[in-house]
Amino acid sequence: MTTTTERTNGADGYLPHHVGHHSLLRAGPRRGPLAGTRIIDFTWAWAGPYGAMQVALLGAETIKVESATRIDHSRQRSLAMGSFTGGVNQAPMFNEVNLNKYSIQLNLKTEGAKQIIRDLARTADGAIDNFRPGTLDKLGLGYDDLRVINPEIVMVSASALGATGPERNYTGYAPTFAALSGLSYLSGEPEEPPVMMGGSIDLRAGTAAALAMVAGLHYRERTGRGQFIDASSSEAIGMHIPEEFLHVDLLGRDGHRLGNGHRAYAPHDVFRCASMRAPDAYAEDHKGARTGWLAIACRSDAEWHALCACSGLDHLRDDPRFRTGLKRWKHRDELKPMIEAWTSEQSAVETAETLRAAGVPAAASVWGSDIHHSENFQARGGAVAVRPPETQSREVLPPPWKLSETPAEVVSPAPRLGEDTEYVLGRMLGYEQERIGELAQQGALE
Amino acid sequence: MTTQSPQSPTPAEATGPPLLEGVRVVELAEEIAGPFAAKLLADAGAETIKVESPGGDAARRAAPFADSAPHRETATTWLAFNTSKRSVVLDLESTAGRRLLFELISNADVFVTDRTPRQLDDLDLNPQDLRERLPQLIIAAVTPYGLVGSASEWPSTALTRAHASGSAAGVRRNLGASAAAPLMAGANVHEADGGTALALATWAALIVRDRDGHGQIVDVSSVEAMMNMDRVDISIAHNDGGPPPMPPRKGGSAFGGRLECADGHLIAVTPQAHQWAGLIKAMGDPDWAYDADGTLIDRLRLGDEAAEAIEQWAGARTRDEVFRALQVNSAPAGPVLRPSEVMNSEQMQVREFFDVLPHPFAGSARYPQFAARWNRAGRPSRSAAPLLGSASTDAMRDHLHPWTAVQARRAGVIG
Repeated sequence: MTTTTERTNGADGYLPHHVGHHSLLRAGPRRGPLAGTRIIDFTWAWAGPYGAMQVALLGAETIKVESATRIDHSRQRSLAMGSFTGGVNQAPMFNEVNLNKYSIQLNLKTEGAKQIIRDLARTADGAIDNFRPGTLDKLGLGYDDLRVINPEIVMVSASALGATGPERNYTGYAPTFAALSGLSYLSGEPEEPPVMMGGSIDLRAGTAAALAMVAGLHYRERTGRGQFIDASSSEAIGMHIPEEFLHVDLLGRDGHRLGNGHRAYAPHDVFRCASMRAPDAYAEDHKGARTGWLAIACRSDAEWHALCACSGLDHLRDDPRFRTGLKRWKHRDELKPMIEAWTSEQSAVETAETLRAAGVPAAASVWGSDIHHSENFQARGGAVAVRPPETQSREVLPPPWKLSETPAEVVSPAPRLGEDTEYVLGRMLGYEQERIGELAQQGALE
Repeated sequence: MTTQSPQSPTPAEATGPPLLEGVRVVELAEEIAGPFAAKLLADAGAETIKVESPGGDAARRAAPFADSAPHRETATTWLAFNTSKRSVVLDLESTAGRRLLFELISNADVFVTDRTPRQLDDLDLNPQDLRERLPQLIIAAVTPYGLVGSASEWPSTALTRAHASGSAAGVRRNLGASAAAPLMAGANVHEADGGTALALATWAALIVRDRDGHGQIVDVSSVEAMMNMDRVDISIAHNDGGPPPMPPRKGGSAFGGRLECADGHLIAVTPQAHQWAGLIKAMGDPDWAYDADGTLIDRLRLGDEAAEAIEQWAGARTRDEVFRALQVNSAPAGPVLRPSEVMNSEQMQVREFFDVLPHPFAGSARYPQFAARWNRAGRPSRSAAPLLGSASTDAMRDHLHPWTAVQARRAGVIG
């Protein structure tokens, strides 16, 4: 039993880690800090699954409870984007937020399935869901039910607005969490309407839920006590912008949209370039990245002077309109086209390198393959290639943390729907084959 | 009608010790990411000492300030990301100051830092050496591009990091206009991502440490933390040959969208059939939504006329009216709230998401909590951000030998 991690040559010569399908069962002992921990994952869509996935990346054995009678949206076309046109086991979105998990297929409306959850709960350390508050309670599988079976269980229940309060039954997705937290109002160009925020909001909410779970598991280690943790996805976004609430109480006003701008610095913007790279360094360059964009921020006269020297705009250095930081900020709308006249003949990646070498904070504005091709990304280990069931190999981002002694790692692609039902029932719970057959006949495993 | 759910366990039961009672954290970090990670630990009850230079965290100098005049204690960014900490000022240019910092770290469980490898070397705090000298210590680092790699010393700011991570391109996707420039999200949310990522991995490392006594190095790159927030779309762009097209969004007729109500904007998102049906029901079941035999028409078959009808309906109502009408019919929606409206919403007030913390210079203000309620772990009482150096003498008393605090202060080693 060995891990199928190997190195393969990528299309353009760089080397992603490779994790074959379905290596989870062959991966051997996990090394992450949560190795030896078992989590029941009732989540679906994006936020909840990403929360549970982070726990799985940290080494927890994470069992996703799914049903053909209630398929995770992200396995389906209703929320699918990109080139995905396949079946429930081929959805790229599902793969991205369900790595490292087992999948057990259960119809929770049947008594047989409920008993399986109760048996799992007896052996589990934690459970996480993102249903409307009370949904699992109605099924007889809420915290009050599970704690009778396992008083030490840690249960994170993440919902749009939390499990208490007048809006506890309201539902939502990433864009509504951002709207209800104040972040949407603050996002966008100053003269434009607020931006409807997307998927990153879900993953932020998922990160807060994962943090709650890990904190609960840590508490349990120290005190022997399980607990119920009521997490709100809208609050999860609000907690990331605490200074905006202080503006209300201490300044007596709401903040406003700044776009790429800054309250005090200029230039502080993104500038159009001739191309992303010069010459176009890779064939897969996609439409959105063909126009390069370069972010430049000058916080001091020294950085401004260095920018002038690099860009051949030396004559601006002593222009009275731009001589001090305050003047540059006041005249930033005049400054922008002057800098853009220069960048529009440059490539973003190489120009950013030149500016940084001169001490100017600068970066090409990247997306997709640009990220995978960046030198630092590769120097830090690069992407991980996984081969989800029924699809070709895909490269996914590694976990966002590098732990020196207990590394978090991608060990498997997302599972097929119900891929591990037999394994979980037979190997983890010790059910006899005959009993599994009966449960299947009763419709518990649909 | 939405049925009322059973009430879940309430925080009133929470009588246990706070989550991180007894955990000691030393922070050497500035601005957002590192301080936010340490704040999350501090607000959960960890005893957290923030080490500052005599000039203080750069966030103390960042406008705006509580009173419009600059004051080192009243910058809102400073106040927001440094609750529940104590401040010790050390002159790290001096050997004695660096020795005191090492002594503080020696007695800590976690050392949170945002210093680059070169800066850490200059402070005699090379992470590998520290790991050998203090094997029980968790060295929790959040730096722009990571402790290892080819970019660890690159100059960067919040703007360049947001663009270097793909986060800004991710926000642009939501604008639906391919020609528009990539755009940062508002406030400091991208920077805060580095903080939550670090807090999460550090908390997990505490579990290992409690079990076997071993610390470790936790290396988080802010840029990579931001990148992970857009990992779904970045992966699809990379693997499937192009940026995924955004679904049609006009008027919320398909998958959702931004609607202009009489008093501002609202977001409605109805990807599932029953949610679409809920939206139609909220609108009073207009004829155009049904075919001749009374069946609800698949929303993907409806065109601009439907979108315009939805826009008209929403435009004639307030955000709150549309919000409630949609939600009681199970159609996900949310008004675009100003921060002040978030603070005044009944939902946030009932849940006590904000608590009021007094501050001697800035005055009292409402600070958001962590986004979850615990039914066992007790809520530690939080405090506002510390005055510069206000804990220098207290926190350092045991480490000053052979000096007295007065001597050390006079020598400029502590502030």
